[in-house]
Amino acid sequence: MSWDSPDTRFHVVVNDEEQYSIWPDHKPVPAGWRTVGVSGPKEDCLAHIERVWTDMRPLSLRRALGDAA
Amino acid sequence: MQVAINRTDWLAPLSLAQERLWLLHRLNPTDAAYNLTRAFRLDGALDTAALERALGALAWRHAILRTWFEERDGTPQQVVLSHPSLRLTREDVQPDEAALAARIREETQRPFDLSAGPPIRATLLPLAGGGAVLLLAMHHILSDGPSNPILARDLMTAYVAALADPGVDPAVLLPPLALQYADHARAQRGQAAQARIERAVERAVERLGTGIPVLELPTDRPRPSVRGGAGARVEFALADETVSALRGLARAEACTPFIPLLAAWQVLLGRWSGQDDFAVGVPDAGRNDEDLEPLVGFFVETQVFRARLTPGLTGRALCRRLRTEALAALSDGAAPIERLLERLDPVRDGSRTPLFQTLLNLRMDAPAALRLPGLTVTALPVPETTAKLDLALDVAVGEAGAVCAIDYATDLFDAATAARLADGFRALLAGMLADPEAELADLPLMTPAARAEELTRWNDTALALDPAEDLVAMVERAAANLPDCVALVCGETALTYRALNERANRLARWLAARGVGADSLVAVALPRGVDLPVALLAIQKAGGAYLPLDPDQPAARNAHILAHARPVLVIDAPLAEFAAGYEELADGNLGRPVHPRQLAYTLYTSGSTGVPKGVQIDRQAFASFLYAMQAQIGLVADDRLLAVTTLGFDIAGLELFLPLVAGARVILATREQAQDPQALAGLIERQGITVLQATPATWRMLLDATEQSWPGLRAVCGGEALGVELARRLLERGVRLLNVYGPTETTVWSAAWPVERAGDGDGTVPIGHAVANNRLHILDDRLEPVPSGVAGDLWIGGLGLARGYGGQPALTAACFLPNPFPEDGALGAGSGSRLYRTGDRARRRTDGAIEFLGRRDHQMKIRGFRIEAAEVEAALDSHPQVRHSVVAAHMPTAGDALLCAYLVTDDGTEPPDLHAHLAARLPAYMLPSVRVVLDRLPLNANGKIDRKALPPPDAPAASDGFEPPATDTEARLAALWEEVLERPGLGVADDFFRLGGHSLRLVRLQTRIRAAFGLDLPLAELFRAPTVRAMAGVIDSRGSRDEADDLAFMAGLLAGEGTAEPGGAP
Repeated sequence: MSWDSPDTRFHVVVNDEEQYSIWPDHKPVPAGWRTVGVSGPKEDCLAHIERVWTDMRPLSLRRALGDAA
Repeated sequence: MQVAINRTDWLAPLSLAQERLWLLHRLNPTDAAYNLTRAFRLDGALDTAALERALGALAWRHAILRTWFEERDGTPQQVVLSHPSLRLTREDVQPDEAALAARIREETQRPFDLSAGPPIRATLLPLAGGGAVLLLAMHHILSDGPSNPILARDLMTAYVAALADPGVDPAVLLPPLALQYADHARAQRGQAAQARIERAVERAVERLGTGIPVLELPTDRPRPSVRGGAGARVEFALADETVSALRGLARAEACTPFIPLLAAWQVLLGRWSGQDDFAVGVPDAGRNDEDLEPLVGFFVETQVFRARLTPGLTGRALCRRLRTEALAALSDGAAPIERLLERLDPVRDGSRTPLFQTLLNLRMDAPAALRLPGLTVTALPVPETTAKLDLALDVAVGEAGAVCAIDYATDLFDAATAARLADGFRALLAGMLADPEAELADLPLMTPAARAEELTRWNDTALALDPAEDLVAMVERAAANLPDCVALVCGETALTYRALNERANRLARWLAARGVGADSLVAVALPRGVDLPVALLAIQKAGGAYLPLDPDQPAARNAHILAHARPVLVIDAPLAEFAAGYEELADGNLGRPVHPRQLAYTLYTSGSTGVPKGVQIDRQAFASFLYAMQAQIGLVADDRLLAVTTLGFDIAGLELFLPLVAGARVILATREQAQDPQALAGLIERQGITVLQATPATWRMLLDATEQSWPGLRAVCGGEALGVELARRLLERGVRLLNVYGPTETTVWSAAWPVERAGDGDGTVPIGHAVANNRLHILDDRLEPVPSGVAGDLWIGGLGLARGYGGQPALTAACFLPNPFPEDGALGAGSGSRLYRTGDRARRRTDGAIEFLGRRDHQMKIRGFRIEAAEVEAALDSHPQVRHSVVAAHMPTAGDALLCAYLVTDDGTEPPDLHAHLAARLPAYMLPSVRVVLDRLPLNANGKIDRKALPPPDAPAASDGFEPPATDTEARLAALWEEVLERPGLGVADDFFRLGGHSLRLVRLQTRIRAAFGLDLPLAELFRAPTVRAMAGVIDSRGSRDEADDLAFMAGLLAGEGTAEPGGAP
């Protein structure tokens, strides 16, 4: 299944820095990333990310600056 | 028993297959590509006289071996001699091993003259250490692969008979044949056969359809505009498991092993080329009559299989489809290639063979060995030194397993690439057999070892970086070490490191007092002057990140950026005014802690939707970049860098900060100087500039306006593809040239390539290798690495990756993806790291250097051909009068794209020989149909070409209406065309090949032109002028082209029409 195929379904994934991305659901999730329980067509996953990824600073930076959520 | 054939010499027409080879021979009589050569070592008691008589007997039995060829009025005929003339030539050289190999090679390359006698040679070489070698060479027009076992068997029978009865006439050593090859050739011309052929052609055309695209395999070298015939061979074996799985699938699908092999070959070619539609040739024995089976002769026909690799297709489904096609082809009968060419109307292009560019040849039998009583016969290897097509895969499946060979054109491919193709074929076939339900695009294109090597071999770029190392620390260190050295010059003003550092410290305190801290954004809209670097450095020292705003950009764009980025401050006035009183503050370093992930700058670039997007680069990425480039450029304190790029382009970051971290000097060109080549040249001279970074457009401007040489100047060129021509011009000025590449999203430059020499051809210069702490991967659309040589999408990982697009989480998530390659190791945060998708097409050369192939969205398709603008531009730029060019596709009507070239020339007009210049370098489908000469090409603020600002071209004159002859030559020539094409009412713009013209008709036309005009025009010249008008032009102006070149050109055109069948050893 091609990355750009409209039929490809994705997972919303996040890494330890709480950076978000998407990953095709038929491929194993790369090391260091975990799913967040949201999957579907690319647009739906991206729309979810648009809603939840409100602070785009990496977690390590937020912690260092003392304002980690 | 009487001698069977004892008539006087007789004449016969050529078979269709012979006719093609005859034509090729006539075009290039010295070409030995169609020699069939065998070498046998004979150990033991050889009876030379018996051997010679046995050879004579072969030529008695097989009349084709005593046939030669002559031409009458443009039509070839075969002349069968009533007596054989085959003699065994004995050479007394007694060669050693090396001399023998050389002698065999020489034999393969010694051409035959088809009109001087039967094109066959038998030579006996006694060996120094005892034994002898029999060399048997003949032209393909007499024989083919399946004839080999016949020759071997008949030679053995005749030798046995000759030994038994030394007195008997060679004519009766072998029984006569009922039918000879000439009978077959004559029968082929008969009405029944013609009708059969017509039907076969009809059905083949129906089956194949028209408009088959050429297969554009990625090559190691630019494809010569005229294809050459040099070739080589790589041999490999299939694993035993693969062979048994092959047999298993064939059994399950009720087909021969040929079908899965063809499927795998098609998929390999499709994946390598990125095409789902092309044709593959498959030789077929062609002896569909029992009476033809015992004959030696050229019977092989080539069947054409059109690959239609529909997305989502599985291996099993493809095999089933191919099986159906193969059965249909079998029941339809043989359709001669020449006839298919007429009907399928492929684009004639001298750079490659028409219709199909690769071949798959399957041999199910073990090669027939020659056996002679009393002798040990060993077949000696005969080197493959020619290639009739781009690639040919030969598979011999026997009891012992499967041996394969790939013959490749050495003009196009390196041995390493052929070996990668072999690796790919093995991996792909094994993958398909292991899982016939897998989609074709998911099948592996490399063995696991090759894949691992592809990912890691060229990405070992780790350069240790102290996490505390930061731009601020680096500049402060330089200031401490070199306080009195000049850091910065702009116009008449100069600042020492001490002055720069102190001024920046004071301003940083002023900024900090106004809330600037870690990760906060400060917009900078200052003119090019001393204040600018001071402000940028101060922002960093305060912990913040700068946001460049170009005052020359449209106000609406800047307003949008400010509204989106919401900076803490906007520095838009001279510092003394904007930060009044800052000079009173303390001048010591601030010593603020820096986190590696806090921002260094945010830079807005144009987005595909037209809305700018803010790329956020962190401190670690920027520090790693500066560190890497300092090593790459070898920048030291003595260097002086001329900064010319607007701050709105991220590459300005290198120009302002790289000298400062190295203790070197920045000479900041003012806005006026940066746009004036004379002023820049003056600065280079006066300021002793040693490093200058600019876009190709700026370099070109500088070269066009000046004559100076800059020996030793380190010229960094990036921002757009660097053409070979510009590289050559730069190197001629004595510079040390570094080509660099990188999207803003991966921190300025991600790849670099020191250009030692401009290289050959008209292409672009490679972008080279990943710079330190970066990873470059070329992936297919499944995110799998592609083999070196194959084009894919360029993805970048490593420390240079941006944090993302500020305030655009979805866009960031869509462009920065999880890195699936643990091979990348700890770089870029190790596990959990990301890859950025550049949207650029690229491929890796055999030496690991990456070639930039253009934007995904600049790839054009014209009449089904994929065309990279950069390739056409490079050919245009190589014309001496063309200074600069851009190529774009225009769509005046839906689906009918025109290739349009925009040029800047020396005198503002189109050079009269431009078309000829391009035609000599590019295949026909890549020739721009519209050319527009401009005073200058539109550039955007960053000095890149603004493609959107190119004017739409005027439509070219319609060329499909009937145009009557306008000159006497055109009228006389049109009459000849009508004779040869057997149709009246031709227009002078009509294409010969679209009117049913083919190579042989062209020979006839050539004969008639010779008679009517008294001109002996080379065929290739006629080929290149396929309309009455063009041909009349040739006749009127009688060009003076190099004939040898023409022959090679024609031979290239015709080679695919010949039945290119790898000659296996008997």
